[in-house]
Amino acid sequence: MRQRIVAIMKVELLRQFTTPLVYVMGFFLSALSGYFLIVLGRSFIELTLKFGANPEAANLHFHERIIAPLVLNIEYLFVLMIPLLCMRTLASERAQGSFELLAASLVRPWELILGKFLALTVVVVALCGVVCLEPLILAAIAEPGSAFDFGALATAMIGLGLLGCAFAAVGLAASALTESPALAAGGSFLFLLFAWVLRVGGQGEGFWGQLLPALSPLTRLENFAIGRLSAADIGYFLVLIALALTVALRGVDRHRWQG
Amino acid sequence: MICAEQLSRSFASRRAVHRLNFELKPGSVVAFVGPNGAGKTTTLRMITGALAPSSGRVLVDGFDTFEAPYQARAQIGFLPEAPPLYPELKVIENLRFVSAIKGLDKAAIDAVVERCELGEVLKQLQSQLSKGFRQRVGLALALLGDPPLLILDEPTSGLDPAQIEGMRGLIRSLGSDHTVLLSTHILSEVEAVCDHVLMIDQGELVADASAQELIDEHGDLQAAFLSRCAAHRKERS
Repeated sequence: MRQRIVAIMKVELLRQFTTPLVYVMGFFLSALSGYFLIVLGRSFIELTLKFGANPEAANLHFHERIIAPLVLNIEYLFVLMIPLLCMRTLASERAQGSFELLAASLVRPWELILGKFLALTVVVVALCGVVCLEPLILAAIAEPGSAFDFGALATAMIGLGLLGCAFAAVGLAASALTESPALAAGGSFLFLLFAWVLRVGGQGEGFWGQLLPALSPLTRLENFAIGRLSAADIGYFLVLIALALTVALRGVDRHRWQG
Repeated sequence: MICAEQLSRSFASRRAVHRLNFELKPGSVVAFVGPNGAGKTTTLRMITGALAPSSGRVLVDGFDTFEAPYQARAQIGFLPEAPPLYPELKVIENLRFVSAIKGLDKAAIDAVVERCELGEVLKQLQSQLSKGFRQRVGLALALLGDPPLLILDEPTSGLDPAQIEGMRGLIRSLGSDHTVLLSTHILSEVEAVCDHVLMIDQGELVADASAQELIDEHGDLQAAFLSRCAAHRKERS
């Protein structure tokens, strides 16, 4: 069982890393997070100079002013990138005929889904590593004694990783439901866009104004971004991943019934 | 080796396969013949367990492909019409992958590489191979683990005459120690490699006889095929 899951994971990783898409994404992620870091850093320096003599300046926390906004900007890039990353996982297997090999093999549908998801998790972790690299360089070149909060950075990266994995699970589910990679990317992008609408559109007073943003995975990242680790937020992401993988499993099983 | 009982499959309102009954004895090379769209691939997919039947059942070596799909699949090597390969991977990576999911070691890969003569293309990307070699790699994947039953769906489709001859030679040699179910609509291929024929038309079985019996009855396989299909269509209309 473990051998089959590892085999599927390895092949999916080979497929991901033998095409230029992951490298192009890594490049853009690195370039844009570098750009965000420069812009946010410059704004932080300006604020520090402006309020340096003011006691309020003590509230200008480096992490909350630079790292948290950086992570919250990266989430938008994930909304665009991860559907592209996932679109081929199962949809193109059907299109190129290799799904037939898996469907007639000893691989259980759940092993297939888990293997694919673990491979996507590795790619998401690698992308988070790219984002994490530049803040770490900043920490390395900072003057000794600077208040760089490594714990908060780690928490933000855990949040970004969980968000990426949840998006990947949604992308995998979309890819399991169609033969067309483009349709799979479009479907998961629409879902993630809906998550964004939930957060933006739901911001207001009253019951719905409170509930709708709480349902969006993007809102759940905010606590992680500021270095606050919450069991409820972790639980939310795990439930979202489990739901999406269940849909993916149904999608694979449906193939056996509907042909 | 295979026992199909009242095997049927419909897609929405379209009846693809209707009440097929047949049995394959171990060690035979059986042709599964029919015009395009007759239901051959649907039947093969039900035998491999990749597709669930609407009704009826298939037993492979005594295992129901629906009730005990993994025990049944362990007996089968399947080469679909389009070889099930990852174009981004090298031949050896495709072989390692299938070997891993079947729980086999390197010796199993070496054996199929030798049998299918793939030594020279092992490090080539799948997408760079000729059609003939792609079919050979597909066959090698089916042969991994030496399953007793081989199901080959149009293995010579799209090959040039030399490649067809090579593939037929390979199938003949496999017939000596495997049960082979070969789907095709090329009747010369049936005469060349098969000893038994299942004919299907519009999802129904129209012949289940040895190749020699059909030739004796109709003169040749082409005449047998046309005559049986015409009789079936007349009966249905």
